[in-house]
Amino acid sequence: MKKNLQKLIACGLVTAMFAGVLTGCGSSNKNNTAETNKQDNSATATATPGEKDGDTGSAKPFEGVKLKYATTQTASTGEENQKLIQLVKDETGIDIEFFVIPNSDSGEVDKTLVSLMNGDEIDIIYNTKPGLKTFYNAGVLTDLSELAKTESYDMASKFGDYLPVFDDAVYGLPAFSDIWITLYNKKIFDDAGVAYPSAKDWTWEKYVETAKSLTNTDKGIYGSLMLDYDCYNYMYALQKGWNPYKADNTANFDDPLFKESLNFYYGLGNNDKIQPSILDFKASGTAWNAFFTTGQYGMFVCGGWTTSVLNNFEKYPRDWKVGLLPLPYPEGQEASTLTVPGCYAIPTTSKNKEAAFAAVKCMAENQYKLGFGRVPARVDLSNDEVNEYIENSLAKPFAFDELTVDDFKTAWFDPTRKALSEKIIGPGSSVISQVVIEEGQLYGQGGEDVDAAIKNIQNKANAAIESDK
Amino acid sequence: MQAETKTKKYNRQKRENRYGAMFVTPYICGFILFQGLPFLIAIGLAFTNVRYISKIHDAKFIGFGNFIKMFHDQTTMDALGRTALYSLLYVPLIMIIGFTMAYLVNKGIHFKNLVRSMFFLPYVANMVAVSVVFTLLLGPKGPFIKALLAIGVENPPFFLYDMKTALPTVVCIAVWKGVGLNLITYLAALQGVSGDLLEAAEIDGAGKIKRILHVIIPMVSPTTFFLLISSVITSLQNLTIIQVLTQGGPGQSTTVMSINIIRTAFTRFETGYASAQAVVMFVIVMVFTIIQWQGQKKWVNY
Repeated sequence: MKKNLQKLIACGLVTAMFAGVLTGCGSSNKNNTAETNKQDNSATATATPGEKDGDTGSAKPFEGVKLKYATTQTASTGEENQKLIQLVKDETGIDIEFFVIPNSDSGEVDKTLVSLMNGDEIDIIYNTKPGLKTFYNAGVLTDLSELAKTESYDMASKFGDYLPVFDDAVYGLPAFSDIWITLYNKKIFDDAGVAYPSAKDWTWEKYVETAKSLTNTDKGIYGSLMLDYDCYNYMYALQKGWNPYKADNTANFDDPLFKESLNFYYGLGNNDKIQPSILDFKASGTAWNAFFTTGQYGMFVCGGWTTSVLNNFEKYPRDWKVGLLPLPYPEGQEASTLTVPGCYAIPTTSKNKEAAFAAVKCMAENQYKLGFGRVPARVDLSNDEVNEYIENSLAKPFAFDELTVDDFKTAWFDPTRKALSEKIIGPGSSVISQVVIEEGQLYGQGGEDVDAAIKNIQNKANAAIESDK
Repeated sequence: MQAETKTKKYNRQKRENRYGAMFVTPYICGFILFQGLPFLIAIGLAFTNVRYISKIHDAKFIGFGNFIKMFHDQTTMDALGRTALYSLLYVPLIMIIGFTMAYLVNKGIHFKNLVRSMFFLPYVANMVAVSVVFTLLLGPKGPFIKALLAIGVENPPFFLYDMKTALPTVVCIAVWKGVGLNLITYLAALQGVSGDLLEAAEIDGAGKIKRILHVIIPMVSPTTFFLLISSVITSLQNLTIIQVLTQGGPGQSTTVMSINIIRTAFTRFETGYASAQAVVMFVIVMVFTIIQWQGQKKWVNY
């Protein structure tokens, strides 16, 4: 009896230890599906009966088809994605389930890519146009050209240059574009007695001049704020016509325009002192949302996505109003801005590519209509359609800041403004981005001179390009 | 009767052995699955040109290509140099401070238990929380910079963002965080040092320093040996602390091998090359450990 009890306890403990060791190995698919079902139900519950019933009678060739959309937990529970999958359901009859993927921090491989390379069956993924390049290099994306041809769907006339085209083939459809802007704190302008700037001829020279008149370091106020992303290093050069790659596909960082750009960006903090120097910025741990949380910066040059913070008063309470301007450009150059399109793509592991294409089309064409301040990546919209969208959807959430239709049109919908890629797209791009940040900041902090920084960037970028071949 | 007792004893021993094996099996399975196999795969990958974003069937066997490349790659060699510097700073500091603090605590101070807990607290603290605290402490509005400004130092260095001070600062923070374990381990060893021996040495005319050098240190040498090996290994497992404090910067001034391996694998996608670097690091640690094992015969007293 005693022996049996001993055996039983020993076996129990060993089993428990096995379970403990292997506890992290279980597939999370069940959880994902459970979560998805829950979300599906809640999404259905939030949809208005009218919306759902209205389409019941229309032809839906993919009625009942289930697709998996890989996204993060936060994104999958977000209102926008919930409305998006409901929209796809209403328009096509397709049920989208979320395939929850962990977040990837900067410098980490995208976990969606890990999953796809592992052969996981996923039908839809989201990424930026430059981000999709890595997926393309890994050979996990479906070429959409054939699918579009079968349906006589003209992607180019709908999305133009926003399309993620790699080696002459299309690998995704863009749903919206993030366009760079200038936000300004009206209270700081009022306190300094400076007139609000105008979008007309909004050049870097005017930006610097305005920021100087706003800066009052005794009160901890800076006229300008920029973050430490890679694109700030080459933004000015891009606007002057610089290209990261030479015609022979080698790095182009030894171009004098890039040197001018480094001097310009780091000079704003080090010489003009209109914003924290990069050393102060890093050492004080300044967060990306410091403009909204501190109220200590006159102007903020940033991607348009940051405007989503403006109407989130619960998380970002403020009593001051914000103004909106386009991205400044160098005097004497044509007006330009940085953009990065957000795209939906179909992995090669999808078992139902036709249905996935129908869903992706629906998402790309209509996501901007959901009311989340998106700038459509559509080139086929008429002027009236754009005006109607801005008046009835885009501008509404910004009522507190009294942003006008014209503000949005000038910042985001100006067809004469040249759109430049925020990210470097090409061989070795991920390493190049990291090297630009490292060496650029080293120069900005006084760790090396500008020529040494450029030489290092050029050499390391060429090595990365060579290694990527 | 005696034979029966022997058989019983034998059976009991056998049963205990079986239970022992059963209890060890889960750990061995976990070790094989999560450490042994990946380690063997890494060794295999180190001899190939496999890239993270390429198909495995495109990979080619390239012999010692990755190892040769490593010794011609200035970035990797610099990272290796920084790793050595990190260890050279970390190991002596943590050993000396750990022993000194343990000696003082053992000698008898007020609030002994409180002091012991205070020293051990950083060891169990969350690394991210530690990084936030030190970023604030050493930042432009932190007390260090303010103190330096107050005593008239112009342009005081931001310790974590200066090329020259970043690595030593990270080492100091790592020592502060890890010294609790050394203190506790040394304290246990010091409490085992015979009072008779110390008294005899004192009667023989040995002063305080001589007693420490010739009695206490030799008596705790097995502990020193254990802590030395574990500190060397810990000093090479520095990814977390560097990643949360400096991310390898400014420039590459804190980019040690662990950071370099991660970047090679997950930014440059060169999985084969990253594996080769990991294998070289393993060999270095193994060589150091073997040297220490061999050397211990000369200075460790059991």
